[in-house]
Amino acid sequence: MRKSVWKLAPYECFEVDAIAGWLDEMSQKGLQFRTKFGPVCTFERSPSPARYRVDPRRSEFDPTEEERAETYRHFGWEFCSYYTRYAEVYRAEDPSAPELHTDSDLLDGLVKRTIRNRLLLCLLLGINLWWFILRDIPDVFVWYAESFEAIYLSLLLAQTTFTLAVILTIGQTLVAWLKYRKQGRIAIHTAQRARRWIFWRGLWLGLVVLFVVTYLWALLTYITSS
Amino acid sequence: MPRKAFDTLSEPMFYVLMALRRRTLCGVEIVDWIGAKTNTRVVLGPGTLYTILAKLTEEDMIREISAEGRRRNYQLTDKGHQMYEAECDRLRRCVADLEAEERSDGT
Repeated sequence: MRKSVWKLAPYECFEVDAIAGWLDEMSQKGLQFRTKFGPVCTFERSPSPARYRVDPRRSEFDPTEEERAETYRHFGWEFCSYYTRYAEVYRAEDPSAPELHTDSDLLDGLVKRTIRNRLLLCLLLGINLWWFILRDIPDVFVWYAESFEAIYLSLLLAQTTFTLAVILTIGQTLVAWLKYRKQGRIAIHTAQRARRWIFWRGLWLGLVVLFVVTYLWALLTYITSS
Repeated sequence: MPRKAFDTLSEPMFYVLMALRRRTLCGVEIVDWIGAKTNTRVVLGPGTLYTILAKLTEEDMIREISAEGRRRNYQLTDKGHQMYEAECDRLRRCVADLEAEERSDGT
């Protein structure tokens, strides 16, 4: 049996309770969270269950980071991995370890800051998408329509899949944000919610793979034709 | 009407200021002090502690005065003392109102 298991990560980084609920559920099933890269979480098969909690990052350059990690360790919480650049995942094997966050209002404040940063990132992504890609797509389409050359087709496909992937990223963040506004942090993990998110994550991953393939095709076509 | 930040202090914030009023402490010591003082009625999670420390530092109510390795010791500033005294005043007035109300219930 493989020791390491990969799963698509559901939930946005600011859905701290839902992420913790999902990781706790995985832990009960014998899968201990190890790390996250891109949309994928890696787990290790291990029977020792633990609690997982998500701590929104206070800033990129937190001067108290080392002290904080030591204090968390003192109270039984070990750092696991970053869950995107905006959140850290901690793990406690001791069931008597105090909760990481005991003040709901303060945690809400941290989550709101994370959402603001995430929405700002989406705005920058949207602006860059428009400036570097979307404005060019009509021209590339015309070039392809006039010449039917493979390079223009591959470029068009690459740009389209990239655009769709970025729109999906922004869309997922906006939907999660709107749900947060409506329900607050009580948006907890349920199997149904996780499945829905994993479906969209899977679609996003598919678009990214398609983009890479079509981009490489465009590059290859360009190299062979020149 | 929503509470303005630091109009009144939350209970954990108040106890952090109380802990630092007469002594300098690091994060772990603050949590232990508050637990002992309140007989574990107020439990401060380490995540909450650092959020409070960051906010109080930002508002210039506490300052970091020394660092021993990774441990940073904190101390109340003048503004922190003022906020603490103002909050104590407010709480005393609340308790006085409560006692007056209970006395009038009894009569």
